[in-house]
Amino acid sequence: MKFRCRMMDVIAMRDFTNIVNVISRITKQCTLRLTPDELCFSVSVDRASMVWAELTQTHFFTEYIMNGVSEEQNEIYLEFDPTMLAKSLGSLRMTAKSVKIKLTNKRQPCLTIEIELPSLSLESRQCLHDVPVRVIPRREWAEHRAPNIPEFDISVDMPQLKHVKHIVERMKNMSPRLTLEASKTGVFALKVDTDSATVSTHFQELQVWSSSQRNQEDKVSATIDIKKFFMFLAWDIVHPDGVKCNIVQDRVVNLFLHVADYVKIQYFLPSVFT
Amino acid sequence: MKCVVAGANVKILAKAIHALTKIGDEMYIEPHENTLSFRTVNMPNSAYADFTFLRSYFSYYVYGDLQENDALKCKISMRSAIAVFKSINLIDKQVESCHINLESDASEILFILKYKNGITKTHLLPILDCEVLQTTYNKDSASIKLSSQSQVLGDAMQNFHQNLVEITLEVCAQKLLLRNYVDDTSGLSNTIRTQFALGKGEFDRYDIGSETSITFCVKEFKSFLNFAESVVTPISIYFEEAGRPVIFALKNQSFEVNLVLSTLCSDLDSQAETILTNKPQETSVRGRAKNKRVPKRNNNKSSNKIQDISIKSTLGNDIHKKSHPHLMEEQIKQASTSTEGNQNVNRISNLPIEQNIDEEFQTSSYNSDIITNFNKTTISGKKLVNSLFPTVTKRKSNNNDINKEENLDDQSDLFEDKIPNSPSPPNKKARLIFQKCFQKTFDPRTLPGYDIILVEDSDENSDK
Repeated sequence: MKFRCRMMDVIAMRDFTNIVNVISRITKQCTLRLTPDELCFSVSVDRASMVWAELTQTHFFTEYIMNGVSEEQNEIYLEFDPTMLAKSLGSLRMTAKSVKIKLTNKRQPCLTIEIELPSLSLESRQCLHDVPVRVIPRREWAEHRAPNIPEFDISVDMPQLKHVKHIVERMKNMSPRLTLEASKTGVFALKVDTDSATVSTHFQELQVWSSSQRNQEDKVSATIDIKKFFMFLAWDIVHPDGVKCNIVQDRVVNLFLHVADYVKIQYFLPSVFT
Repeated sequence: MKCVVAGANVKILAKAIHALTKIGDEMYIEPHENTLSFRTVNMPNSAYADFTFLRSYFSYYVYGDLQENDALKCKISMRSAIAVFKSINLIDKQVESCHINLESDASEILFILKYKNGITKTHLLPILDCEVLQTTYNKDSASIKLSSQSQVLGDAMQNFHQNLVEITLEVCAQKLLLRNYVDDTSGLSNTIRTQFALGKGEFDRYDIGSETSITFCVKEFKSFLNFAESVVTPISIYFEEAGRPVIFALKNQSFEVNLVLSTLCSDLDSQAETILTNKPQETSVRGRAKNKRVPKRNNNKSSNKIQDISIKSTLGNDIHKKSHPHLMEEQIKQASTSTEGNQNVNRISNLPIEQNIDEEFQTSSYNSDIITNFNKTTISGKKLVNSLFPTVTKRKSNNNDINKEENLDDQSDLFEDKIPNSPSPPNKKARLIFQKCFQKTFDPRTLPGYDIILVEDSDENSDK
């Protein structure tokens, strides 16, 4: 088993740090799946997948070597606390020259992050972090596979996350639950219900990608945990090129976000019943 | 003594006081003919800081009558001092000058702040005592002397975890390494290990006699570093080896700052290898350290430790004789003007030590420090227990190693085996274990060796 990669590009470093930061705010334990082409961060809650983030290695890394257990199963699964990784990557804030990430065995498996920082003299400063990880054995791999994506009742583009964030931030104080609603006409609505008021915000003229509805007026809706939805909005920091909201009536909300073609993030929010 | 600090210099004074606050609870103010010093020592006597402002720092400085030498020295509480310089950021905008007045035999020291808008604030800080904090440390004798811009170390420290307690500094021929100190027992699975390397070229001065590493507390160092960064002054570092104090110094034409920190006395590679010969004891001591208990408990503990030494000294290690009631081998003498007797005691106990300084002694000195600390500041239980017990356990395993090297006979090995059993299991109450001591019929004089004083009382107020 071998893994070693190297990042040189400042923008790639910033994006990578941002992604790890967002994940660290969501969970205390995440899985990193390494394959020859991509890195996948995955977060599951009660065995149900919540976040699945795929990063294309060629965009981020100038050098990427990985060897899995065998030729057929050329993958590595690691489990760790993302807050530790995020803290270690904090050293990148100071305009790092390059960063190497390696899988090492220093009395226990570690992700070793080697950061080269500029200095006052000729030799650069070197900062080394060892983040302890657990290598997931093959028999447990099945639990960490990519989630199945169900067939959606409707798939619409989301309005700019920035705007949604402003609204949800306020709605969060009113109710713990949020209803997402979309229709074939391209209307997307956020709704909270309280004893004294119903507040909803409608966004219009959004692109509809697919819809199972026949009637124009039919609406698809699902009620979800507002805090989890709000956490998703933190992904705004990676400046997504597009965010899609997919809803299965009263069952699940799937949010799909991508940055060019190198970052793809799936976010699953099961619906809650009132 | 009367002095005036003007303009931007007030902010430097404010920052200095803030840096001292993070180290100790009491501040010693000591005026001299041409300088004014602010000093503090932390509760476990493991850190000492000294900010000395020179004549050129003040726009006006007069010492007064030189005959009243002693009368002008005073100790005030840190809390009252910090109240004078509460909001650092506004000080240089609003305050025009700061006057400090100290009359001989006064009960208060005066801090007068003159604001630009015409307001004058007078702070009367009560003087707690007329003590002097004396230390002897020698920067010139240090075998390793480093100097760099404060920003270099400041940047380096940013890569470490916010709540880091201790840091290891290692000097190699070509580079300096900083590592977060990971305790053997804390378990590795949930801690990030961080190492930061600085090339030799980043130091203005890099004299190293030998490659070595030291471990010291981050908290005091950080507050010193913050001050250094704010005044943009290069930092000099002086040290010798693990177990000997490290001195951080700042110097420019208007002030001098020294910070002396004790360093952890352990093997160089204790971080890499887990040598724990006394496992059972280790855990029990640790368990109790976590138990946040109050003074009585501490006394028990200290007596435990004393017994420990007495056993060892019968083994011929002679640690007892060498032990002395001081921190870091450089002694911090707390000489009070009123209690001169005590001072003499200190001096006497120091004499034999200076003659036999050897490696073994260092391990034992740490031990004895701990005991005196317990005696001195029993009220401050919680803090002490937390900060000192890790060193106790370290010292334990060291002593064992030494003993092994010396090839002691079987009998002593028996003793060694017995020692781990002596401390009580952590879950039982002290009252239960020392039940006999609380009985009315108990007479301590029946115990063997009750009249041997192992360590002199170090509390300066004890003979009042």
